[in-house]
Amino acid sequence: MATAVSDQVKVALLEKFGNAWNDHDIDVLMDCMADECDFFGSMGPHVNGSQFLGREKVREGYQWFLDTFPDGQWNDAQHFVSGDRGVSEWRFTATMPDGSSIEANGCDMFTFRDGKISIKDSYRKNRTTS
Amino acid sequence: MTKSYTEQKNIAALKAFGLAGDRDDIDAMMALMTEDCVFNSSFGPEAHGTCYEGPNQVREALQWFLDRSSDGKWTNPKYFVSGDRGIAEWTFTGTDTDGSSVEVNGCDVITFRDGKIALKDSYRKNRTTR
Repeated sequence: MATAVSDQVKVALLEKFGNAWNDHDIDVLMDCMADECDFFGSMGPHVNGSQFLGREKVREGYQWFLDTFPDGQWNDAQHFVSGDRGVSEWRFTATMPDGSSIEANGCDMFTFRDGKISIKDSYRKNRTTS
Repeated sequence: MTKSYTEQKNIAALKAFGLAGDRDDIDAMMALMTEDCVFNSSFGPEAHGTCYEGPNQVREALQWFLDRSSDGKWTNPKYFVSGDRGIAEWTFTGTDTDGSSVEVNGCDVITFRDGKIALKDSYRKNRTTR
């Protein structure tokens, strides 16, 4: 099936965004985000995990991630887009602050506005140790 | 953008699957899955959670989830598809086996084949209590 040009442009945006995570480049990450944006992390006290509301908080949240997982990588990324919604799937690998390593699949549910990301809603598998 | 016939069929299957889950109708759920279906649950010892392969294992796993919360509902569902990939987002509410109530967002990342669900890859927010 033919993918709409606008969807292809958004897939390219998700590729740029994913590469920026692997490059740990906060400026490129924020360049992909809309002026009004929110980030919902995969873990936290709210029904939608943790909440970072507004561009300033989103930047702080992203920076916290990059600082907490200095060797964090989002591997084997796959993306798809439908209109103003999109998805990235990846396998996260990193060394945890306590020195242990983590490897878990995850995904981002995106909402777009004006060609940029207005919401990043993240999920990760709850990997048990058994 | 106008959705292709394939996408219309896929989104109909996804909606029907959600409704079947709400009424604990395992037969209707399995009828919407391919004969070589795979279900990766949101938690487990592997990077992709726990993998259930083939209709027998998938049926058993889905039945376990239905039995675990007899009042479990996947509320406020939202769907989108792109070709043979699709997403269902929902808020799961229910009573857990220990009597505590659960309310947490989640999503299914779907791969379709021939209008049925070939892969259901599930995620839930890791909701903390603090």
